[in-house]
Amino acid sequence: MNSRESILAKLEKVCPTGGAPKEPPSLSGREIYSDYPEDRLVENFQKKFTALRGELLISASMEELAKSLAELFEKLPEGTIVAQDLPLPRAILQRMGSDSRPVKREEQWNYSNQEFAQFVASVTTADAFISRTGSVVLRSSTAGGRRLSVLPPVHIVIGTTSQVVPSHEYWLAQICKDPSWSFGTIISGPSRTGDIEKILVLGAHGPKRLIVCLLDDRRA
Amino acid sequence: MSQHSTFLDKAKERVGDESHRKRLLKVVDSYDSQVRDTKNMQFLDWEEARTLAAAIKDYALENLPTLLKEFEEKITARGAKVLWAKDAEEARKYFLEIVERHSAKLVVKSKSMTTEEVELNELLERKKIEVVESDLGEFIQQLAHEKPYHIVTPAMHQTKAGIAQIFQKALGTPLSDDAEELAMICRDKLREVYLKAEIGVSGANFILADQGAISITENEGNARLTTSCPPVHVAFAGIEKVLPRMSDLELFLPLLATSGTGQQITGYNSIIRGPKLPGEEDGPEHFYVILLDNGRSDLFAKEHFRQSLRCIRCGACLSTCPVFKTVGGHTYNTTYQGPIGSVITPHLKNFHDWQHLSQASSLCGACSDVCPVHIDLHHLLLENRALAYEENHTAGFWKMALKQWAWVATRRRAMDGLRPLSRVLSKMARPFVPQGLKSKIPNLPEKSFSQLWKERQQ
Repeated sequence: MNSRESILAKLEKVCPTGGAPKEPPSLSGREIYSDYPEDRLVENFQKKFTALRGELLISASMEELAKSLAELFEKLPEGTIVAQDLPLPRAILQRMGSDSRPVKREEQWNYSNQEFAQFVASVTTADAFISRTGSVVLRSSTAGGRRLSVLPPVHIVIGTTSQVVPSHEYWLAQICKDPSWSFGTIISGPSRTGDIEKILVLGAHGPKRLIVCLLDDRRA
Repeated sequence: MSQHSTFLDKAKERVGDESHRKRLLKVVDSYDSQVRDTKNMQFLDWEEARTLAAAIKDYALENLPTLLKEFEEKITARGAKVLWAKDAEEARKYFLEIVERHSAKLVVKSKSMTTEEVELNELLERKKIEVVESDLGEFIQQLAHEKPYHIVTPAMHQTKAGIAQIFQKALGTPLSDDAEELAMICRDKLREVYLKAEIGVSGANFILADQGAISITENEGNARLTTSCPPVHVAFAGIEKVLPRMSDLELFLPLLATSGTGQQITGYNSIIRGPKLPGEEDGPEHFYVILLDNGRSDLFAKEHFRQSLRCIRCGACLSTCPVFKTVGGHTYNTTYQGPIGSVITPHLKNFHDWQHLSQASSLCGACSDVCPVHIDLHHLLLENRALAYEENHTAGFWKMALKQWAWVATRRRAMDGLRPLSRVLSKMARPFVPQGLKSKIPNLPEKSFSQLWKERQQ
């Protein structure tokens, strides 16, 4: 008997399988959190996200967002800024002035780790923004793979205010149905550590800055 | 020397070390207040939340073989390989085979207590394969040639000055008193390691059965880099880490973060369902999950102790335990320290050698009070004591002494008879008291409580 079989046999001896399976205790319909946002989702997201030291830009128009982004790019250190070539980022980047900093736009990439490490900032999209905890949620399929959102020292996320949802359950339910991804993550602020005397330090290994740019499409 | 004597020796040394205790209490105090604030801010009813979490973990344990098979089937269908290890030795054997198959010379690791349990680093060092810990706390401990001090905060006992010295000695970096500068030394050093390593090793905080996925919780981004850059990813997970559904993370991620670090949710919570899929930009080409039993199925078979497998390794019971706060993490000499470690270690290792840990408790119950999955830790410590007594693991001398003490303590006259021996008794206690506290051993007071009571009644 191999180890798989012997381990399972030991477990099954205690808990026989078969019979009608019970449903696990359910979370749905239960109120667990006191800070569950019923309304004012965007305002709550703003409060939580900035408390985690995330930087947030909300603009009513693409032009305005493009202008803020161009200013932000100017202040970044020298090097390549790389962006996912998807409709929303493309629309905003195209509205930047011709004198603004160039951005490398790509649909797909197969850079080596070494090449990747040279980028100073990345621009990606996300699945959603979580109001309750101020988190950004994304997957390999929506954010250009695994490295783009974690290897460059500055991560810029472009989205819309209509993507802000109350809690993680919405995202978890949505991604269960989609077979097209191998990696997903809930990001809550820039990379951080408290391993030295509990002192908060940002940029432990992942991005030192996390910037979310939201186009306000609520009234549209 | 037996594990029991080692424990007593180290404990004695630590109890007398005031600077160690001060450092520890400072960290624990800040943790305590963060946990309290986050619980109040986030949870409507903490008690209800942890009762629900315990019920979900119990369901997972009741259906463990079914859920493990479901996990295996689904993650295998997406190209991952699941390896079942009955013990630490088999887990090491699997890992060496993977190292050979992929001709790996450099391994980068994110934090994983399961790899500590199988002593992976020691194995790789023996085989001359370079292994680098990427979690800042683990990195410090690796350079200091020390085991993790605490399952969640491995370098909890180190000071900035001490860390600067460790870095200077190992890496030749200049001394610094700034936490950020020190953290950046680790960041810079690890960058090249992520890029070059052939294998990334991680743990798994949860196994998500319905999706065939694992979930990894962290703050630094080191686990994300470890599971993104190298061409091979190996995840180690204890078989008890199962949650029935991915949607259970809605409760378990905030629960773990609150109890673990006093955060509402940790910086990164990643879900991995397999290696790089066709059409994806990047990610490891190969993904292995090593499922470790190593005594867990024995614990599972003991009905009383099964609830200890609910543990989500948040470390709350360590940080609240008066014994942990006095003797420190290294005194236990185990992978899992504190109350949970004292409950499970004797069952995962050798009961006879480790049962003394059940005595490392005042039975105050603080551990059971804080446990986010409602493990009745202090009663399980009592169960271990009873088992040790029944199975004759306790020393004959100790049994005899306890019997004599029981005889004296239940007889008023015999107790009063000990009074004139007060000085002799405190002398007898001296060898058991740590250096520095010896002068503080009190003598018995002039009159006993019962004498005072009688006098005042009159």
